[in-house]
Amino acid sequence: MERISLKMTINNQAGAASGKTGLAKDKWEEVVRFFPPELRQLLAKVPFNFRRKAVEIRLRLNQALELNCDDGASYISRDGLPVEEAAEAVVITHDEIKKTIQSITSGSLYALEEELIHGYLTLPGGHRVGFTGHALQESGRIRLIKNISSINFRIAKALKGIARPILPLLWKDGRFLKTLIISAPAAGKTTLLREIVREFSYGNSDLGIPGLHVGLVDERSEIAGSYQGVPQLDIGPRTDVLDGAPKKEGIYLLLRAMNPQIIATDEIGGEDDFQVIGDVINAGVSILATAHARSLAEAMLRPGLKRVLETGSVERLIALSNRMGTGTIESIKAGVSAAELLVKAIRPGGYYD
Amino acid sequence: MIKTVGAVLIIGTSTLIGFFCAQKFGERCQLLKLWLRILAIFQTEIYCQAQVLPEVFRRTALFIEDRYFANAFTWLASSLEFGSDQDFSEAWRRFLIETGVGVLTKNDLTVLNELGDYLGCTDRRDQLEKIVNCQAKLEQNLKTAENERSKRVGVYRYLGFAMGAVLVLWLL
Repeated sequence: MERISLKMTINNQAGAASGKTGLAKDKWEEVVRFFPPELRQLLAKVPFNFRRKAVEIRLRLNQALELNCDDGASYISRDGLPVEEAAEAVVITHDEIKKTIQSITSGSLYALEEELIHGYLTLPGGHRVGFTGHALQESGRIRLIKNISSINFRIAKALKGIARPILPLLWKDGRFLKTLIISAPAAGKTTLLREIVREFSYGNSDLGIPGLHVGLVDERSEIAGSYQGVPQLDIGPRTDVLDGAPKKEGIYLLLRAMNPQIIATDEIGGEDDFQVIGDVINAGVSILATAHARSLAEAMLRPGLKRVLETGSVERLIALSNRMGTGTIESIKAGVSAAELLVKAIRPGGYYD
Repeated sequence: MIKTVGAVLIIGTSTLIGFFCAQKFGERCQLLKLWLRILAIFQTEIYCQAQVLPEVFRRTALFIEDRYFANAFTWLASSLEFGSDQDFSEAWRRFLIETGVGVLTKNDLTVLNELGDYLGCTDRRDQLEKIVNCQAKLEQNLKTAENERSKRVGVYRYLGFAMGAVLVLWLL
């Protein structure tokens, strides 16, 4: 029997897998170029160790400029230094918000109506910008967000190599095992999903894994970071991305049109997801998905996820947390039915395949 | 002989000046017609194609024959590219000054400046309304310009010749 419980963090692995310095510099500059000149000059002074850890940069009208890192949040002072007190920080003006919006939309709000309805858009480089403001409604639905008052830049980080240690656990008898990644928000689910997709798309000759055709339904342009339909992050040479499509329709389209060996998607857990996943499995295709849940027990409390787990659609359940930094792999459980998974979750110690 | 040559030169020059003045009215009409064509392109590219403004300007540059105007649109597109620090309203005003001052009237420029204040800032439906509104105003201005042209072109041409003739007579 093979013990498959692992403890590691995405950050630790990423450091080994890619040159931290170059990565941080490039990604930071890719994002910062969308800021108005005054803020750009300020952000150019942010110390390098903060840039490396930066996850988000938040602009709020008449509020302090906020920098969120892996290990906590701080504000940016007039000298470009991270400070704890908002009173010492630089305050965002209406003009700066306006110029930032103009910069990220190329002065064309109308061209991004769909994105504005959803409240986010993707920039070149795969970075995501979320915003809030005054919502205009039509027939009970948001038609447009105008008078934007908050902007959140989420810095995309491709942490190549983080999935490599777990690849043998996801590959058995010449096929990819149906896998679900669960965690609380912002614990690295999407990053791990992207890396698994990339690894299986490239294949790994050392492990005897051939390159597989992966169909990726990227509903919120988060996994591949697509900009104008073109993936900005490396998701492998055999991955077909359906960007911006609703999960259900996207999965059926990929099944019909692209003949994938794996279908990957983010954040399942809807009422009828079990049906869609069932159809994927019936078509002989493996599924790789993520879901919001801190633990298997919590996942079982969500009706949509419970049905997915009960129907035996999950052969590997990866639980992530922030315990030792973003992307700490708490456990990888093996099983074919929810009852089996649950027993293994309750029993402390190793999990057995 | 010298007197005859001098008289011809004076009358010729003044007639030419009259023709140039008359041509200004024609140029305004031509430019307004060009703007109406540009607005029709904007309608298609913005409302139907939902292209971003830099792309709209680049495509407009391809469609119009006036090379000077096309180059100005290419410059305008670059001023809106990702990471550009240029404020669009300022860039638009500069673009209008470069392409329209001396030919278009203050009223024409005000209408186009207003369009620049709204261009890109709202949703597609609203953009269409603004463009249609601008088109209607420019069409009205074009009618006025054509009326003026029909009235004044002949007058200016005749006036140029007449002034030359009067000057020659006075000198003689």
